[in-house]
Amino acid sequence: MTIINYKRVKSTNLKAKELAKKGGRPWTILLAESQIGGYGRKGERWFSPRGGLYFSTILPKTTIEDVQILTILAAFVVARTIKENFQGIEPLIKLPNDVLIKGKKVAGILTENVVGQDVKLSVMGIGLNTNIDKFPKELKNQATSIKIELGRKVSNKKILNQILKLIKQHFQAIST
Amino acid sequence: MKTNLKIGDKSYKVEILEIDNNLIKVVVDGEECFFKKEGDEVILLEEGGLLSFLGFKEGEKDLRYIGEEKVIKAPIGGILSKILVKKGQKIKRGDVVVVLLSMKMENEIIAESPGTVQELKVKKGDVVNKGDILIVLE
Repeated sequence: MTIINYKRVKSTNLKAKELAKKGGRPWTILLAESQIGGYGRKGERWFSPRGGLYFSTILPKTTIEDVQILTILAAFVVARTIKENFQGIEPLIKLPNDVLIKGKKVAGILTENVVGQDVKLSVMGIGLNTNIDKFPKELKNQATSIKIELGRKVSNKKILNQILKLIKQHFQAIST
Repeated sequence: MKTNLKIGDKSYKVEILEIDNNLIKVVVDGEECFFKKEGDEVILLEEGGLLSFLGFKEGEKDLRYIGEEKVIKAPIGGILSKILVKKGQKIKRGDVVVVLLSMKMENEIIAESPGTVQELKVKKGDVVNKGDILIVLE
């Protein structure tokens, strides 16, 4: 796995698609400290200030069905990582692709494919509200962060490594 | 690595970056090019990169699809969130024709062969099943 770090990008998914089209290798991870145009499904904005964890993974070529399964599994991976690391926090999965704590969104997953007769490229983006202190008024009742729930800062690096390791394991399991 | 390169009496600002193990970016006076390293060879990736990424060169026929009906089908069930082509529009191989939102993913559906849009079988907001014909090409 190669991790490319960015201070600020429009969106890690856009960067990942751009790189994948230019021949970027599978399991290249594009990680940003903040996003100025982070988005979720249907182009909905994903609030992405510094402190959160925002990354996209170029996935190996596989079938569209496998990518779909992996996307659902990614929500489980994120929830499991939160639960295992932070005692007392009970993450819930809101299918298809959100993770909630006490009914508020803490993580979102957006997979994007380019498909012809077969899948040409797939990127999976994960936005996880880790060390975000506060949300804008309009999101206050819908979003939360691990730091808000836990009352302390957490390690983005540790969380990232665990999520990536589990996603890779799941990918290998479903594609063999 | 940043350097100034002089060829004849012209000077160029050149920057070379390795952005992945096998991927090199070269910026000449602000213009970006990408090179892919394969063994001992360094290959220039085309602008946009999609054609080379698809594994064949422009103008070459993709033997896999000769004789197939020129239609674009839904690879998976979902809702059409964007229709990016119009009837009569000429499209190239690799052009994105529709965006299909399946429950968990956004899918850009591309044309695998060039042609003219003869018929749009769907409109924005339609729900389609896997295998449904979306677009008929001439």
